[in-house]
Amino acid sequence: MRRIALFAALLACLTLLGGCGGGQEIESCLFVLAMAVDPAENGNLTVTVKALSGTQEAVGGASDETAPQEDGEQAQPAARTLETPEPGYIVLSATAPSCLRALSLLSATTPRTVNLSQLQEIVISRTLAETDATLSILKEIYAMYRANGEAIVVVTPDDAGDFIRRQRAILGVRLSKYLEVLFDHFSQIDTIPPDAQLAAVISAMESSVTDATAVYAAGNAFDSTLLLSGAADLDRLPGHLPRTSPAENEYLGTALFSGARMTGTLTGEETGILCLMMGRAQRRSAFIGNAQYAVSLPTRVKRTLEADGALGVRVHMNLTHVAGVRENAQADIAAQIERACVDVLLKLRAASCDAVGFGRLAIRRHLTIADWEAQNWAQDYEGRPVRAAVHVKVL
Amino acid sequence: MPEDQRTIENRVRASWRVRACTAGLCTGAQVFLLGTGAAMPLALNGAWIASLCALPAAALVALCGRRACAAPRRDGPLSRALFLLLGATLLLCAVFALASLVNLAGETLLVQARAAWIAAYALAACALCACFGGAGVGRLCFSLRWMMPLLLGLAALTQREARIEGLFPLLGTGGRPLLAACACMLGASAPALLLMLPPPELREAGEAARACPVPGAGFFVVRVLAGAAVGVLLLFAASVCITYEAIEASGEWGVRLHIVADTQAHEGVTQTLLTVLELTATELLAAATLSAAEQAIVRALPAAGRHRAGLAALVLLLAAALSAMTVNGFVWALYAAPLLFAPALVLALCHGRLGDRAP
Amino acid sequence: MEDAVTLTPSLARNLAVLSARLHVPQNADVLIRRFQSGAFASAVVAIDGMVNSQRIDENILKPCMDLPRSAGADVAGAARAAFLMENAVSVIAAKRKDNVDEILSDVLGGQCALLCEGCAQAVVMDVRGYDKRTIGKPEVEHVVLGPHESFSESLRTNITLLRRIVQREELVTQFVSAGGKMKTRCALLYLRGTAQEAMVEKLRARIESCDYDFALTSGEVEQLIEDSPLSLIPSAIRTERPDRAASFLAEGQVVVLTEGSPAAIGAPATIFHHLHTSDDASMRWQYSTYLRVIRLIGMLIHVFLPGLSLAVLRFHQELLSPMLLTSVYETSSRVPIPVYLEALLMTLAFDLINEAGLRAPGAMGNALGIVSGLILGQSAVSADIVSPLLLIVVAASGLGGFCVPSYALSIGLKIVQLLFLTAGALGGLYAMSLLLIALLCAMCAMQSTGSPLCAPLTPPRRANRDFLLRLPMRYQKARAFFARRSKDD
Repeated sequence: MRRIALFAALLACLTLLGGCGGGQEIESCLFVLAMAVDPAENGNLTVTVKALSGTQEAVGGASDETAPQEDGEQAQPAARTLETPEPGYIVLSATAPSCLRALSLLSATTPRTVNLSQLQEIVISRTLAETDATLSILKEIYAMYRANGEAIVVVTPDDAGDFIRRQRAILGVRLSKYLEVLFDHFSQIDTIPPDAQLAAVISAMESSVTDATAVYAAGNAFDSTLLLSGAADLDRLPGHLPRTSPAENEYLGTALFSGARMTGTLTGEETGILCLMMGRAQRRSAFIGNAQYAVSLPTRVKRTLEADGALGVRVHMNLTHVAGVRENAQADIAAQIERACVDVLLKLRAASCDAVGFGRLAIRRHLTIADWEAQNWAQDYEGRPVRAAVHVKVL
Repeated sequence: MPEDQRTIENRVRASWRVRACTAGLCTGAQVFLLGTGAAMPLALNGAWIASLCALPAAALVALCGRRACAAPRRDGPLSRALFLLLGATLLLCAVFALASLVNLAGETLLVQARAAWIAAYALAACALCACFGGAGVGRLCFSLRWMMPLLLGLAALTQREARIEGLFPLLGTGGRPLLAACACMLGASAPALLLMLPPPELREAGEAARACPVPGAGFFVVRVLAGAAVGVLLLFAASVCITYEAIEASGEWGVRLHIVADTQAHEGVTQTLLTVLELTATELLAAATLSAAEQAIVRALPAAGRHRAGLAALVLLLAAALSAMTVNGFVWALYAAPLLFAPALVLALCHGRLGDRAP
Repeated sequence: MEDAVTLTPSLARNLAVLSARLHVPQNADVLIRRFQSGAFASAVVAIDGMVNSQRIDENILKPCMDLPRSAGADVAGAARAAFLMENAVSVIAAKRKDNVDEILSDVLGGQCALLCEGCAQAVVMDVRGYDKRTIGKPEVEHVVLGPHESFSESLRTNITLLRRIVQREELVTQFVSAGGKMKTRCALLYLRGTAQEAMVEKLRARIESCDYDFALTSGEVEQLIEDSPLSLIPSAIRTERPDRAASFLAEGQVVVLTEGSPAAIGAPATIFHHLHTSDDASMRWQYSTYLRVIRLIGMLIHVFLPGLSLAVLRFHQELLSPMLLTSVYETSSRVPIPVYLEALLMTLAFDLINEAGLRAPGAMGNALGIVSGLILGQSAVSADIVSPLLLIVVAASGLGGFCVPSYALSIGLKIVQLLFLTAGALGGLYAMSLLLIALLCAMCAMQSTGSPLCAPLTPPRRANRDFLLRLPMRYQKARAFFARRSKDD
């Protein structure tokens, strides 16, 4: 009997303490799918989020109130604006000195707890990305309760808030699925960098052996079928693809970071070369001249630190002719790809961005952290020559 | 008609096998917890190298444990004092495991929950496990003995595409900090002290069972070393997925305990499974050491009786948890854990006084 | 009249004692027939309806009455009962007794007692002839390929059913009585040389030491012999199938049959016995292994799915895919009650429908399931009282519960399911994993008549490996771990 009484008392205590567990009903959360960060006046940040509204009806009402500010005073967090996107979603924004405060403001006024577990993309304006604030912003977001570390970091030259307002599911119903398929697809054709997830970007920014890359995207301001002569179709930045499309945003290319600061960009074609040199290429077909080839890599791509200090990349590639007219010889194709590799390496070096990861090879030559940090790899990297060796076999 | 002697010997050997597997699982869990808690802040990514020191220490304690159980029973004041020391050491292991559990759960599954609530649930579960007798905990540990290797396999599978940059530079901070980390890791051998106590089911067994010989030293040492080796490999996996800069920046112990799965978006099922397996191993460590502490206290103070000893152990655990929450969190448990090697060494040297067999 | 313990040589006194104990003449069921059997008077005592009157007439009364007047004149009074047994009565099952309580117990059980003038013994003969149910099909343990006989309420019939299958000289039947004032006859069957004698004695002692007024059914007898009455998992296995009970005997278990109950109890039992069906042995090992896995998955779904869904919805929303989350978010926003209450109500409603379907007579039970499940469920979803996801979860969980072969275990698991539901709502996966560890600890510590419940998995035992997955017959060479070792082990 005593044991039963003890069990019952224990059960009662644990049940009464149940409120301390932090559980929440699902409808008390605000599930954010996309987030945008823009610089505002007086050093503030404007955070715009696109979240689930919980209803298939369009959420109505829009108001735009801005708190009056005097010069010289620190800006107060401004009132939020409500927008009406496609049915099922709601767009909210808030301005505050930091990302966390802006999200707290949104939580307080919605009123729902902001939940970033379903976050698909984080869009940062280029102006902000070119400052040292990027890392702290991303870390604040990642430190938030349940933030999705797999969310894709995107840099845009446009207004980031407008970018996510324009972002709609042009195929299918759910924006989340649309974005998921979108990023999957672009990864498979190597037009976006492979390690653009939030956790990976933060890790690379903090790391001394590699540098971060993010997706570069822009609004599709115009649709044109004008072809640039001599250039590959994807050898351009987003917003300038030669096609018509209902999508208002284009994701193409890479934003290069050196430490926490953005220092350059790569086009879509250059991103493909970067993926190849990183050993993460997924594209299985290539257009060279007027011919289409199926691509396979029989061996892993090798990155080396040569004896003379040069940074080298070695690629072995098999090409199988699939369609079109073969105009280029095997040696010509190899030379063409080699030149492209060297151009990308030079561009990375100019941007002080070790995205390929030569630092990972350099660190292995040091036994202790003190030795490694004494070398100052970031500075050493900028002075090293680069070379590429590509071996192509056309089957 | 008396039962076949061969059957009795097989069953006694099976009980010892359960005990040895429990000690191995607990040692492996403690190696991982102490490695991420104490060794990593010192040696950064060289912590897994420092954890290799736990292997010979655990083997020594296992060997002495086997000798203690094979030695004749002694009942003097020194013997009782040693059993009390054994009970206190195992209780401290339980506190350390509880601290790890609260930290890990607070950083991963229940970020918004209060630490006191998390600790209350963990204590309640420990108490329930211990009140069913050490036999239940031991048998559960035996049936889940492949859990740590499964955790390791899952971690390896999710990290198969990962780069091994987290391992470099190999010696981490090098020199003195690495030696200090090695010294810390000696405390991870303390759970092997479980082997100084016979399996609880032999208490209720007949004379024929108690007279059966204790298995050889290799029987215990192999199992304890296997468990400890899994702990070392788990530390290795944790080092692979966390760079030294991230370890330096990480102020929370729970974050270091978190083996990150390299998975696609919204496939957090794999990550959650990894975390739940870690939590289970830690909870089993807490429950097993608590039951063994109760057994040691009963052996030291037979007049106390099993229930009072268990209650006393639980009250001490509760007091430790409450004081931790009011003073400075569970950090003190982290600092105390490496020192567990001192009592373990004393007990290993005096193992002859801990005998339990009938003269 | 003071209660007599043994019979006396006086026939009149004996009949007076028996009449007083049986409350004659108020009790109209009692038959007492006096007659002359040779040189001395005799009487037969029986209960009307319990005996086969024709057998009494032809095998007892007629032969006794046909004895010549001089027969037995030179037989001493104390030997008259033996004289009649050897020379007159033609009933094979006959014993001499002198204890009044035992004689009354036998008479009340359907036997008849023959008393003689001058003899302090009675001849108790088995002439039972009450109406009983014929052997039918099992009601709970349905199988596809195996036999379709089940036990009935008659103890003798049930013993016979077992003896037809286990035709071995080592099969021993011991009769014991359970209960204080109203004794229930039980039979302990075991294979001598296979079952542990100590275990048989332990079971026998537990049944005989029952101090309750009565233990009428096998369920009550099971509660007498179990080790831990507070546990949710049963520590003995019940079956209504003779073939399954025979397999228990072959494994070294003791089978307990109870008069008036169509179920046999097998002890000791492990948790794995509750997951096996008798079809497993009848099918090829590949099919039965696959079906065992299905049953195991069903059981896990039954226990964990509601708790897991609540844990994910309240604590771990990141485990949901964005598509699924959007659907759940939209539907949950319309439901007015918290998700834990919703789940609890749905689970209780499911159990209510189950129970009502069992109790409702005949065809109404079938219609009830359709009405409740389809109409009520559909209406509840349309009225936004419950969300469709939770309805699916509860229904799937209920289906999983029906996969558990042991009815007793499935009821226990229903309670465990509620515990996990509460744990998932209060503390998510953390609380659920702690609860699981505590419950598994309790299960590992449990014993069944001295044998560990989770053996041979833990603690390890050298035994037949057929406990989780079914191995081919040719690889099942060892006995169960609680059997005595054979020379080949």
